[in-house]
Amino acid sequence: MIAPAPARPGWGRRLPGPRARAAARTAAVAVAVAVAYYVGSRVGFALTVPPMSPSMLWPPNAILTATLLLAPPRRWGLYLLAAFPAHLAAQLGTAWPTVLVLALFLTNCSEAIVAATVVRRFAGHGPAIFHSLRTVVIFIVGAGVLAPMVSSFLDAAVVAVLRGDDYWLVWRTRLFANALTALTLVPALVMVVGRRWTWPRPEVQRRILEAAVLWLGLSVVGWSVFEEPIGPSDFDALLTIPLAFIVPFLVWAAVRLGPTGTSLSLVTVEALAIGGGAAGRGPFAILPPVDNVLSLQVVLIVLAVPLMCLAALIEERQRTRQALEERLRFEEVLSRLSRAFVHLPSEDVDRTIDVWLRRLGEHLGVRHITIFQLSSGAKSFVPTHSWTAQPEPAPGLELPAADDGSPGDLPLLITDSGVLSVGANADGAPWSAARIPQVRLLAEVFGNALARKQAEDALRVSETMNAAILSSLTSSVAVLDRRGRVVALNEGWSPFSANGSGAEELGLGASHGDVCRLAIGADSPMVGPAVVGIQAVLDGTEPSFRFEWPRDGAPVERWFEMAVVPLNRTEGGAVVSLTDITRRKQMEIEAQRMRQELAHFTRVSAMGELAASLAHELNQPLAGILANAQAAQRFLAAGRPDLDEIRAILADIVADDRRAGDVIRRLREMLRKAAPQRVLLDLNTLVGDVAKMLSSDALIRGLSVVLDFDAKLPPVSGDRVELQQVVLNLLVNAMEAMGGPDTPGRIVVVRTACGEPGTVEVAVQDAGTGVVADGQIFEPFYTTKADGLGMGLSIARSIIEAHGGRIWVENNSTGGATFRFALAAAVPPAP
Amino acid sequence: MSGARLLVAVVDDEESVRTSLRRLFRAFELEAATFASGQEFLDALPSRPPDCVVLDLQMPGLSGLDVQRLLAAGGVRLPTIIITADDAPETRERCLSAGTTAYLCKPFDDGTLLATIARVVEAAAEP
Repeated sequence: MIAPAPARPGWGRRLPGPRARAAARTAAVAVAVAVAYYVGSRVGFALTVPPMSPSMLWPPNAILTATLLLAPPRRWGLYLLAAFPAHLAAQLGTAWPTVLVLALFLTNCSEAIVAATVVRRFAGHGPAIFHSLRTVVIFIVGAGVLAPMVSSFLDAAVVAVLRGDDYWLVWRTRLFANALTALTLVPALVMVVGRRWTWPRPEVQRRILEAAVLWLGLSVVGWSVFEEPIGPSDFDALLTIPLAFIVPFLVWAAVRLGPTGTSLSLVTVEALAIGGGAAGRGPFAILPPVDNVLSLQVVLIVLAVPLMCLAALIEERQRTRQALEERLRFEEVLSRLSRAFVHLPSEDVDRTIDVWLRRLGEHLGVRHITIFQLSSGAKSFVPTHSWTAQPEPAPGLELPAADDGSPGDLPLLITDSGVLSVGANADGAPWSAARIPQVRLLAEVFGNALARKQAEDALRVSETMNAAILSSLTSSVAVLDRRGRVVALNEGWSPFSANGSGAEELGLGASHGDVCRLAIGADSPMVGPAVVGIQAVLDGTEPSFRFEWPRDGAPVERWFEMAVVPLNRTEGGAVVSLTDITRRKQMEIEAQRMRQELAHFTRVSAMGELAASLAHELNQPLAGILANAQAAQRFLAAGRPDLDEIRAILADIVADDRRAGDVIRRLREMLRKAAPQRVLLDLNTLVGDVAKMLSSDALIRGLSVVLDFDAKLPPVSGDRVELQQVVLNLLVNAMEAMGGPDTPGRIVVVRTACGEPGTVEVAVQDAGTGVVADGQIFEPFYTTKADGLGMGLSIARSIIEAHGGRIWVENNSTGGATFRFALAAAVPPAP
Repeated sequence: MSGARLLVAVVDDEESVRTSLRRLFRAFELEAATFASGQEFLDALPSRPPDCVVLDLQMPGLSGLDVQRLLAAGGVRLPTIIITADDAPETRERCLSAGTTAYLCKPFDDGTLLATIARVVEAAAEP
């Protein structure tokens, strides 16, 4: 298994194996070139017509030219070098001087190089040169005319200089010999050696049969034409007529067997003609040997050129037609494949992919096709769909070696995490450049189908999941769209409709008003605010909405909570959930009642502890009232009342009486047991009242209470009695913290101030011994006093927390502790 | 009782108590001098010593008992009547054991007050 890699032809790594194989093949080719060159040289010598030194046909040059047309230019030097020993071996045995032998090798090479360079430059290389008319013409001009002419000038010069032969005669013989060799032997060699021999189809086998019949006929006719001894007595017409019998066979080859058959037929004719000519037989035997050879060469060249052109033309047309048919077939497959996946339900995708992998594999003629997909852990590719031509285990995903020429698997990335791997062609042919984009197009259809299936499966899983989540919730849940219409809901709503609320049963498409009426009760005045709250969440003006209400029901009152949160998606909407909070509410109410009970109890006990100071507080005005009243009685009894004095006395009595009344009112307030009431309070007044209540206590204890008030204190919202209790508790604690009457600096400072922005802070500072500031001091039953309950600060904290505030204590740097509490400032109602 | 009117000093931080007692003493034709604190009383003492002093027990600064102690320490023999709004029995004990001549709880009747004043002044006059 491999990691995903880009799918393109010729990718991957070059492995050591193919490299070694390539080197071995290069060496084998070099040896083959050398052997062929040697054999060709021997054949060439055999065809030499005495007394001429040049041969009729010179195969070594054709071998070199064919080699260079087949081999890549970087190997040219190597293969030419390989031919050199063969050249020496073949020619050193002759009577020729060594210099001539060496020079001839250079001229041979020059022809091959010129021919191969020109043809490669303009017509490509390999058998494809002979597949179109244009490239065949380039071959004829470059390899059949230009190169022989160039090399023949050199050749003739060398031979003329070193052996004293007639330059032009040698040039002419060489030119025609080389041209004939190039035009007949080179195509045959290139086609035979460069061709990929495969025999899979019956059609090809029929072609081979046809080729055999043709070759047999050609051989018989050719033999009879070129081997029949024709004497000088025969009339001139016979000189040319036999050649006419050859032509039908050659045309047959050109039309039916393509460039390969044509070039092999030409070689056959050539062999027969030259064999006959060399033996002094054949149609031109009556001529002098030199003219005989020349005539044969001219006839063969003249036959070769048009036949090769014709073969190329027919081949070209056939290939075009094949390409067109191929293209049409491909497009039909592509369109049928695409149609197969349109509107296909995702559960059918896998089966359809399997069917189409088989069809595609058969159409492409490959050994196997496999689709690999990245496993869920993204660790490896695993085959998910596979087809093989023969029953064989599904192959793994392999990297094809880069351009080592062997046809391998063609992996194509079809999705982000999928690869379609097409096996090698069954006929062993390599992937053509035109085929790969076609296969890629086909592969993309599979990729799209798989991607769509994955998306649909994911969607279905999420829909199932949503439904499961909704139905498993204990709350009643309704999902609203942007306009407030119910788009999904669970079964939790039925108790409401059964409750006789008057509303219809809730269904999809109901409005959020229906939801509220059903949940709260159609006649309830709370429906309006709930609808407004949901609308605010739908509009996005509020991040959420929460609403609690009681509902009459037997046997107990039930409480419900509605929570509305926006739906986190681009289309908007909201989720409304309804929860029965009766239990929670009951516990809350019970806890609140307990707290109030406890607060009252501690208040009463605090008052009990303050009894002496309260008596003092009351006795003062009473003493004034009594003394004033008795003075007045005395004045009146004396019979000479000073009315102004009496008036002043009465005013003082009234004032003292009010004072006493205030004391009693405060006392009653503290002892009263009533539900807390939230009102706007000025903490300065409240703290001042408590301080007044405790002034006698301070006096008795012999300490002073200093008040330091922030005149600009904003009001707070709270229960007067509860907050008074807190201040009272803190003040009494502060006074008690300060030891006996003989301790110096016995001052309690009470401050009010604006705390953190939006809060009001009250601080009670004593000069006692300080506290252990670990927060335990606020826990219930925590006390340092012998007769203390340890509830005071705990109650104070619960009261402050019930008011949404905070209470804490810190030790002063100057000794003693400061207790503080902070409450949120209330925005006073608009006047 | 001598022929001259008795001078009674009243020391109490409560304005209402001072005013009402001054009126009461005037109604019974006693002369009254009122002081808002013990220190004020002690400062004025040498210029015009009263026949007796009515001292409030709980006052800021010097308490009634403090004043009484200072008088004793200064060798001043002056009948003192401690008045207090704190009617706790231990307070009474504390005052009497400190040498207080008389002890009254607020609110008190005019008869009681006058009788007490008469009693302490007479007791002081005896050799």
